[in-house]
Amino acid sequence: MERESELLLVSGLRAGDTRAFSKTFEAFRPRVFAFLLRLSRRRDTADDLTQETFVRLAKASPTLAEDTRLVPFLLTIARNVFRSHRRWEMLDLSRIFLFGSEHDEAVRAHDEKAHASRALREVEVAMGTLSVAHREVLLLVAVEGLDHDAAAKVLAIEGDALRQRLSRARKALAEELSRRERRATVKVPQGGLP
Amino acid sequence: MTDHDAAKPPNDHESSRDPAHPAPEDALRGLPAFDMKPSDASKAERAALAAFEHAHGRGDREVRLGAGIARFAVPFGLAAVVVVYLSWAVSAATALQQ
Repeated sequence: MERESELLLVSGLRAGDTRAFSKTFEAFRPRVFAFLLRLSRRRDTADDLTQETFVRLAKASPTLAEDTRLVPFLLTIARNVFRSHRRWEMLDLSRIFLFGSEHDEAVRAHDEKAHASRALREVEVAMGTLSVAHREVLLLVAVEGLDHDAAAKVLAIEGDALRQRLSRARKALAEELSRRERRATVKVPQGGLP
Repeated sequence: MTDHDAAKPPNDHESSRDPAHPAPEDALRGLPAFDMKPSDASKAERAALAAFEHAHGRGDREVRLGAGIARFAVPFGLAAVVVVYLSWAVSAATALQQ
């Protein structure tokens, strides 16, 4: 979205224009949802947290700064609602019984895409094995394309800390992918396929 | 990550040096887009729009109408109960005197 259109939306949000809010929801919902699905790895959680993200945007809309950049703003809210949800989830003892039986729904959503490639599926699976801190920094910088300053603000860390975290996350992803590749190679019989 | 790694200045483009082996991070850029199901999306939009209207001092017309009615109905109701009670008390007292 062009900056001018974004500023018009922000102006509409500040003024209480419901059409501006609907346009904002339409324009940014897929990005927020995909970010939350890849963070949480669960579709129902991503649905709920996407709704909560836009509810919080709605509540904050009268006091938005005129020059608000909507993508980092929404991703900051999305990350915060995910963190709150995760803290609550850790206290929910009933989830212990579900441990290990849950499917990675980001991978499932990937599989539902007709044009999805196997290589990208491996990346999607590997992303699911990373820690949340690594996953979120990769999602913000590599998938969402935020610059380092914006990503650091979303994560509430300094620029240097972001660069270090990003470097560690890249390394962890590369290691996981090569581990998966080695595992796939070992499964092939030594004499080769008939 | 080791201390050595932490001390090493990370390079944003170090992964792109070998075009034959693109970095995993480059692959991340090609991940497909996802979206909510239409029914979930419209439900979420309705909830968010209600919050938006509320934040701007509008919306919840039924709730505000109900609150307005209640504001008048409660004092009138209380006054009616008091009047009925007093009239019963007066008539009871009159009956006892006779």
